[in-house]
Amino acid sequence: MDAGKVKFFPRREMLDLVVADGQARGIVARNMVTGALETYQGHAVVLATGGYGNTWYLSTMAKASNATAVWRAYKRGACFGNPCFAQIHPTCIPQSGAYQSKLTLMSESLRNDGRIWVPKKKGDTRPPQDIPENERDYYLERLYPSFGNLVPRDVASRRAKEMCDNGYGVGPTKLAVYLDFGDAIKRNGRHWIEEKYGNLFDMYHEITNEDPYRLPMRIYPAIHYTMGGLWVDYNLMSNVPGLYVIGEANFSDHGANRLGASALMQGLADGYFILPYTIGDYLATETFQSLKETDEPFQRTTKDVTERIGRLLSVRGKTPADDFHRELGKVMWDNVGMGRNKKGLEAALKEIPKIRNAFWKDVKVVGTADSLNSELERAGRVADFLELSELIARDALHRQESCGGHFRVESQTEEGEAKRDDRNFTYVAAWEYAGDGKVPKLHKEPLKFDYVKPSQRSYK
Amino acid sequence: MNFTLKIWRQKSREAEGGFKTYAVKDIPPDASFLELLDVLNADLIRKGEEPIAFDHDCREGICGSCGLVINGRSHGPHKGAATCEQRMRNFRDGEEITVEPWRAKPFPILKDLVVDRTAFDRIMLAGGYVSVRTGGAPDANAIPIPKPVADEAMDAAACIGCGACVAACKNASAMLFVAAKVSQLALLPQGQAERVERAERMIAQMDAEGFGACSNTYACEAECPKKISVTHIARLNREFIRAKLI
Amino acid sequence: MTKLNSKIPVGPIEKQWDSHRFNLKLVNAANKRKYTIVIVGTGLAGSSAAASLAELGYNVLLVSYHESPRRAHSIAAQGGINAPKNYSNDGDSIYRLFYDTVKGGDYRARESNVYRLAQVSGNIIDQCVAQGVPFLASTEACWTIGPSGEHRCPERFTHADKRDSNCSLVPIPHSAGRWMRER
Repeated sequence: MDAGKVKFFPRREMLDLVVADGQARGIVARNMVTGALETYQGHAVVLATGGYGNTWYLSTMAKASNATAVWRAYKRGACFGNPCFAQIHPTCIPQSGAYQSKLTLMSESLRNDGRIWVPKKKGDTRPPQDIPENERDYYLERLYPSFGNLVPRDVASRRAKEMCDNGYGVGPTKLAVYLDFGDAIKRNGRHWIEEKYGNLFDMYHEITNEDPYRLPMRIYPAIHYTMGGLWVDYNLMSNVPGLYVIGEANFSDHGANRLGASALMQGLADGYFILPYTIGDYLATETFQSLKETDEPFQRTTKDVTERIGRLLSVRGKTPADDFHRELGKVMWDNVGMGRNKKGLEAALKEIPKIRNAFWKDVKVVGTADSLNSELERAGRVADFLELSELIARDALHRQESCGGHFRVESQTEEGEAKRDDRNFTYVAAWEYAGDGKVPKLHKEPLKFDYVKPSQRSYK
Repeated sequence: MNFTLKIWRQKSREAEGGFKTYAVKDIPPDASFLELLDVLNADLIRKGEEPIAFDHDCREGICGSCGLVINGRSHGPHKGAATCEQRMRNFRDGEEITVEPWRAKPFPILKDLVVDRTAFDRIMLAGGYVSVRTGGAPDANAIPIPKPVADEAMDAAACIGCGACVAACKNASAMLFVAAKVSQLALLPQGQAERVERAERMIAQMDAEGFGACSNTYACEAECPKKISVTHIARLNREFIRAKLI
Repeated sequence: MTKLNSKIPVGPIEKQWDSHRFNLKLVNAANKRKYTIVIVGTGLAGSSAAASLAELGYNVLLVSYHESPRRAHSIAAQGGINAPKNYSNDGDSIYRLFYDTVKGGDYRARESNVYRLAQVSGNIIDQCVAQGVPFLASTEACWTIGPSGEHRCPERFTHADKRDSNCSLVPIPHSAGRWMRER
């Protein structure tokens, strides 16, 4: 009885959402092997398409990870919740050169046994083993005596950036801090570390060509997860009836900063234990008109997708899509990264449309639409990042407070911690598409705290 | 570093393929093999030529998407690493490097270096899961599992389904892949209920897909990026015999 | 005119999900096969949804840009899964996980959603284990709960892997496979 209930369609990329009579009724996807556009129809659509961290180009996300599915849904009416809430993970292997295609995360758990430090002297170029104990600044232990190296991700990341910005960074790029296992190895022996972290140490060694059993690791923060996503109600349904959004793709549970080991928890909670209950309520209460692939909503959406692909191929410029993506990534990292301010965000809002215009004038997509074409796939995704990035910057500019991963330089405590403005910003910012070139409409969903009373987060 | 690359180009599944030679210059030694291909592809695009198609995604050796035969070795010369984890510093400056897709009948080439490995998924559909319902699962610690057993199941679970074992085998046998999957579940108490039919059905599907027989050369173990041991093949054989006896 | 309604249930937070579930309309078991649900994405969220919805009797069309469900990036997650199991008798509870998550998110998430997440999190570990996910085993033949300082409760994590970077979660994307087999 269980046979054939799930039909799996691999190598198909969703390129649009089909809305009929106000209900989400299916998708248009491109068969990535044959290039054919295909439609998939149902009574409800569930997006489980992940986050948009690759907007920043370099991240710990997989290379193909993209925002197209959620962005296309946004342009069909689904509101986007808190787009500026992105998590920057403190323990990644630092970038070593311009050729680099992605960043590698070193597990959080390393902070259980590693100690983070920088030299006390600015611009110290001595190798780490030559810097004596009393000339090292274990800054997290100094600033946060009770949590030490285990402060939340947003705090650890921001402090690392601050150290590097102030000239204490280490390694060839000076954009790194040390994560030192010397004490742990002395205390418990190399074997103990091998058992616990062997794989991670090997991975670090492979990538950097440095032996972390002898030298401290160098780490730097990188984009890792996006708390923002399509807005959903308690039933995990977006404001488009029949469109459900689960896992990282929705905005729902992590607020402005996600705690460790909560991403799998949320993805699996949504898929196993929440959606199966809530979707039934929708199906039981709605009425559905019968639809065929040849009916207008599917035809019209397919036509839109065809035109968009045609546009990408017809630019015939000179520059690969990836170059625009790298350029966008730099603007995003510099202005919409760990420390954000009004000036930088306004600059990003000017820069992004410029890059987008240049893209549509000069992108080069080689090959055809009717075959396996990874450049066409990439160009379509970059085009969407070039739109979503503007919404991220707009949201970051409007939220004139610091909270979690969203740090507005203008809003900090005397100790340099994120300072919320609960009176004005205790709400979810849900943005609604208003047409190309128009300012999206902001909806505010007020948040109420009846159980956990908001306080200044303190990890001292 | 500079390299000469001899790369397999093939327009489509049906088209005939052949090697083409490319020169790449000024590659940083810390670049990964896929980043080397990125550099080459950017050059090709600027020249208006079609870039080389290759599968890749996580670029940290977990997703199992990438897989190239580099100088005749699955995933390249560096042991225990997927293609994305190969670093150019492990090659000689000026070296000529041959790059081919996985060569195996059950993995047809889709384009250039991209192959279709859905045969693996069809093997998994034949039994590579535990039929448990959502909800009502017993407490995770209700069934104690001795540490050595759990560790061995974990070793088997390290398989990333990349297909290097098949590409490395002269018979294109999928035994190491199937063994890892069967082994993981056969070791754990949760996998016991379907143990007998799982081994039978997965092996039957493996044969139906056209994978060859195992002749114990251990090339698969040597080329596996996750260093999966051939002892799992021995366990698979035992599982199969057990299934036939019961 | 778009109006957002979060549909948060009323009543005490510990009772909200239960009473909400009770109030949800059900699709008659015999009618479920008349409905088709399109799911995009085969990571842990999409796969678990596909398996669970198929089990209920719905038809599922599962679409992914990957060649196999197992290639999705959530498999690469290194950290583990939270669950307030209190295995180590350290006083962990649903309420603590709820509290930590709301605070950790800097008071910008819905309390009701987070409470529900904490409530169902214990079942997730059980479900994963039942499906053959080998979590890190300690010498006591139990699944190990690892420490994390971000959380107030020092021993909450359940790690998916002894080497902390691996594919042991692969049984989840493959769990939908049971429902894909043709007769």
